Amino acid sequence: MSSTLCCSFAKNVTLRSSDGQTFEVEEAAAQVSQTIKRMIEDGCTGSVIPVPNLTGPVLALVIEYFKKHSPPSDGCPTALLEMEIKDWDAKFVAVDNDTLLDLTLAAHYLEIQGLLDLTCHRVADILNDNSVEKIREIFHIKNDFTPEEEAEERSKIQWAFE
Amino acid sequence: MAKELPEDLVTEILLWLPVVSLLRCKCVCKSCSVRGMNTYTNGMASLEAYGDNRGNLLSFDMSNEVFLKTPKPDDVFLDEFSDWTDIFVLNESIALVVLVWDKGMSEICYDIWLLLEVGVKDSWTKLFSIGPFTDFKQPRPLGFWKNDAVLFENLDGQMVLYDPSTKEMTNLPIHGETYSLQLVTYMETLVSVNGRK
Repeated sequence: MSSTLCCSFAKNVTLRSSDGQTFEVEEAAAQVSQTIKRMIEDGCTGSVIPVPNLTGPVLALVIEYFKKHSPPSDGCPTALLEMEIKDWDAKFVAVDNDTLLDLTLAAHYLEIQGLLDLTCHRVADILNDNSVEKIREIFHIKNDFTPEEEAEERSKIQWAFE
Repeated sequence: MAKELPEDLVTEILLWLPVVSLLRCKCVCKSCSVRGMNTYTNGMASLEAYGDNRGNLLSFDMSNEVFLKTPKPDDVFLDEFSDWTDIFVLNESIALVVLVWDKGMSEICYDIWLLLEVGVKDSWTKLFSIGPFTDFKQPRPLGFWKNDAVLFENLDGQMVLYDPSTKEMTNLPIHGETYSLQLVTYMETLVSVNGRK
């Protein structure tokens, strides 16, 4: 009896963030993350799956990504659907820089290759579009060069600043 | 950085950057440095992508304009016994030089690895070790010469040649200030740098 029930409903898993928030999500969707997939395969589904590296708000975002990227139940994704997902992805990472870094770390920890590529590409675009000074400001990086050292570094690759 | 990114994650990000931006990023802070910018092999420019030693090797394939990533060999760790690496060209391939301390932390060796195929981690082959040298007396590797011979600069600024077949060090008649020596590849070509006009 229970086995028939199991097959007629999509199976859910519960994920718990570092600050104790819980989220229910379809097992197939959560397996977009290789880390979670391994935990499910190792039999962690009985209880709640802890995701201690992610806070509630970040985990909520990641679950949105799971839902959009879970394998479609009816065969291959169409070209139209793929375009729609690409569009959705672009909007998904158009967030403030701190959230973007949170998502990058989450993709890394949860081994979500698609999200990792997406976030890393976005961070690289930001690095590409901004000056050295602005990059330090955006990512809160302390300039540990003395003015002389920085001038020397810059003079070595003068052409890259032209 | 407010949120510390693991080094392999930094490499993932750098893989998306054009070379000019990558170089500009060197000037953001000291830990963003890249090494081995003179390492060209078969249409590839390779560099160590991060100031630390766990970083991957990044190679830019100029014909296809894509980056390839090669993780360093598993035996090469950043730990108390191995804390410095550099890359050079040896026989048209990338060679990785790793400084390794002995267990007593009084002697060091250099391990030499050769990358047979860019992008393939399993193609790292350990060629030989040089040393041991006693604490702080180790010469600084400058690069390779013919037949796997390694050129070093010792602490007096003296250029030294190491022959791996005889394991002997020979002083060469080249001498400068300490840390002043540099090895640069020179190759004659009939092709104009400016191209055809």
